Amino acid sequence: MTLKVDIHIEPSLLAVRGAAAVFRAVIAELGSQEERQELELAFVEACTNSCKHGSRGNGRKDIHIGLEASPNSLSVLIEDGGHAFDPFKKERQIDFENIEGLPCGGYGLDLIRLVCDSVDYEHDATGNHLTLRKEFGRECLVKAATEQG
Amino acid sequence: MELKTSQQGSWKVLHIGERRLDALVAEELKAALLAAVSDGTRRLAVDLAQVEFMDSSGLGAIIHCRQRVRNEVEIALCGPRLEVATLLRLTQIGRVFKTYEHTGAIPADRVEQGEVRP
Repeated sequence: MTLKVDIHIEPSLLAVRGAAAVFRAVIAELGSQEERQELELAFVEACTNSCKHGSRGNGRKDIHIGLEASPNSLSVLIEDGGHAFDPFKKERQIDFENIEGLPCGGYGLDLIRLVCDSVDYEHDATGNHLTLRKEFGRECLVKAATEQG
Repeated sequence: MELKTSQQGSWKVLHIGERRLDALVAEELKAALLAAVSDGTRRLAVDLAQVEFMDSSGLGAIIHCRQRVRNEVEIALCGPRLEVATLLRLTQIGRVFKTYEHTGAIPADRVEQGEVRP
């Protein structure tokens, strides 16, 4: 069974909290607890970015979130009207010995890439379209296929 | 933001009563942390036991405070739940802060333990 949920939120941080509550409900039965925690983190980071930057362009003024969940996979589409950005920019090299030089922000995209199996991005006249995907139980499926020969 | 402070040996403990430390409360958290050390406190333990979710904005507030106080104040994190520990692990920021399982695990003041200071 596939569950599809579409929500539209205003670009406010309070609305992001509301969207996170919906997200938690959608993924409640998926994956492991650790995977769900990581996914909520990635989701909130993506929505917060959309909230902060997404209404600066000439595209849509709301944020559209499309969730598609099946027992083995999750797809999250986040659309906003912001200017184009590069979600694949090289991960920053952080010197953890130099505390004074640690960045106070900008961890969001790194976290999203770490947590998700794939990230797709498009930009058009309406704005940004970011799709995050995660597969669950892949190791179990591979193991089962291997055992079956 | 719901906050309480207590003193444990030489450590001031800031108990965060907020369930979510995200961008919505990051500025408030930043101000609370800086206020907590504004009285000359040299050791601050941030008790995160009640925090069920923290994102990079919440973490950024703690890093900001650490940078503002430089080496004049020791900052430690206490009681991070699995959710918060996940963020610390993924960002590797857990390497930067001493982290204790709970406030009871904060080491007693070394002078109280009998360390002789010159």
